Amino acid sequence: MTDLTEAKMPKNDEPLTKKERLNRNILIGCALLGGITGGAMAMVVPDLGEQPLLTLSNSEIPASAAIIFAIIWGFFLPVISIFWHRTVDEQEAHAYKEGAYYAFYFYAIAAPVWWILWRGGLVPEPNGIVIYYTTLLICGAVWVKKKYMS
Amino acid sequence: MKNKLKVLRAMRDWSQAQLGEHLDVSRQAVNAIETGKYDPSLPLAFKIARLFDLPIEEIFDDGFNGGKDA
Repeated sequence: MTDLTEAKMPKNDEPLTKKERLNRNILIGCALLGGITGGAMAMVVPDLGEQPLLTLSNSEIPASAAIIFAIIWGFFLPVISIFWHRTVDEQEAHAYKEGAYYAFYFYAIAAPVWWILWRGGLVPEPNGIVIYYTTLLICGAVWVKKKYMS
Repeated sequence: MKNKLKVLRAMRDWSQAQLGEHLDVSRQAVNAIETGKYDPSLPLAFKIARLFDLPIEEIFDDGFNGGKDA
């Protein structure tokens, strides 16, 4: 518990609450894990060819690397997510759910529209990774706006 | 929803972080409630009411006046 006898400080210099510290540390951990994963992926992908964005590439990677990345995404990410969701307060949970709400509707609309237009020969073949990252981006943007810009 | 949280906090000379510690929420949550951008859940509203030893309706105002203006 914070010592409530300490002098009241200006808003920007206020110490982080316990929840905020834990939340921040989890997010830093996720960023580090993402950075390490991205760096490792960059090393195992032999040739990017004409694809400028590594994470949008569909180029082949070694099976062993694929298993490691799949474990990171399929096991560590859910475990960290469960821990994070137990850490956040209700306002942040609400902000996150709102982000997920908008992201879901983007996915539910954009994916079939792209797919049906592709079948009609009007657009290139749907790229699942582009849809995936855009969905995450929308979720993250709404979450940050609702949490920090309200 | 309008509320008196900022006034009540100021009366105790607490920062948003200090109030957040009491309520087990973040500063952003306190700020969002104070500015009316986020309405707390019923359990959190009760927690706030108990902390300041006031009824919920004295802290939060949903704008309903009981039809007195009608």
